Amino acid sequence: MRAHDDAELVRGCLAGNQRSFETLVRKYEKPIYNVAFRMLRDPDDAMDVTQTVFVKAYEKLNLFDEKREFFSWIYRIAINESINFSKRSKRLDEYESGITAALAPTQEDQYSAEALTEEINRAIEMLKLDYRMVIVLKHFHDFSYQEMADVLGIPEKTVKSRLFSARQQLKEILSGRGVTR
Amino acid sequence: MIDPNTTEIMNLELDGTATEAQRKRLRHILETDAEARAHFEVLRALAGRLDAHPQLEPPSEMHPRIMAAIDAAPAPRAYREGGIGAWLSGILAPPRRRLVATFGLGLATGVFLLAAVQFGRSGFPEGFRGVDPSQVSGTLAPQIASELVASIPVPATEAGADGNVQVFQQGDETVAEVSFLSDSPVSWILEFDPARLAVTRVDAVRQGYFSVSPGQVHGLSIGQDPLKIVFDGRAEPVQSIVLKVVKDDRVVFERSARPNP
Repeated sequence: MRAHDDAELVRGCLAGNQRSFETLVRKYEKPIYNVAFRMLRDPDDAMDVTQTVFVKAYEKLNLFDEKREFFSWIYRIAINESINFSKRSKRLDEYESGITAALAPTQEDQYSAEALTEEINRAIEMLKLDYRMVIVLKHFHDFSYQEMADVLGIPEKTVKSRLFSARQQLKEILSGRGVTR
Repeated sequence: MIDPNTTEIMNLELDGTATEAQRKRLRHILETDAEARAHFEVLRALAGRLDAHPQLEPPSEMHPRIMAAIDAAPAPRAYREGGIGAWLSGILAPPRRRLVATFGLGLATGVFLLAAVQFGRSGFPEGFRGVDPSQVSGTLAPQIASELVASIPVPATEAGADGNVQVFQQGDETVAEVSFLSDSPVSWILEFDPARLAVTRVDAVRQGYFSVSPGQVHGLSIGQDPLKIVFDGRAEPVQSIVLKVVKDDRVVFERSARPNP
């Protein structure tokens, strides 16, 4: 489904057709949940944030500018809600003290695919939010630099800089844990 | 030590955005520099693993939960009435919605206290302190059929907050609804042609301030409630309505209304 279909669904919803919004929910609930989960690392929190995102989008639908992409608008709400939730629950502080511990090497040199996925998840959790956001949007949602800039409200140049630094930091965390490839 | 330019080209290559010249340069570096080659291989493996990362399935109860919350939320409309009535109906609503309404009351109280402190500060613009009561009243607009004639989308990339001005025509009245999707106060000026439009009232100001002068409404939006300005007269042309967003005494965004196609 393309962007103009989203705009049509938004118009339908504003005209009083709630089914139009349910179509948007079905289309975006999984990626939004994934964004929230990657940011918050807790399935219940991610579910709460996803619900809040859609309720907020529904209530503020008249603010949606049709000249923009709906997906970037709702992703932006999701990112903001995740950050707000994270700040409320003070998880940022946990993160800040997390990197040092993560750099300690593990005993294992060999990883199964499942263990490797888990290691990468943990390494992503160690990234600060700014870096985590770009990794999540780029690699888990296949966003372009421009789309990330639009969602995050930052220049494309800053997106690149954050993404490259985030990868470097991930590499260092994983190397520190004995994961080199 | 790998120089930052090389690292940047490596990353651009991983993202598929390197130019032909950059790719050529990278090939040369990788052929001649073992350290760079090892670094690039690790980065490439990492990017590959990230790209292959599985998406998580949300819990099965999530969709019905979302839809139930949406059922309880006020329906969005291009132009809808809000005000104290909406909040009261939230208080009297089922538990989930009551919780939201109560939370909203708490939030509004906090914002009000913050606004009160800001209002008392010496730096607060004098224009926001006084409103001529003969020009402005606080009644809610009657529900009359209205037609969206123009709008001004406000992108956060330029103004620091997403927002929108929607201009409606209802009979001989023009209504401008100014909204911002921001938890921080947003200061703005709505300019109009005083020869054609005169402000008769400003509605739904529960969180925010405004002041009216000929040809201008200065507003400070706090929270996300729309501020509705009702004018006597028709905005012709609609481009004569201009929104400016002000930050640190500087206009950071300025745009005329665009006619609705």
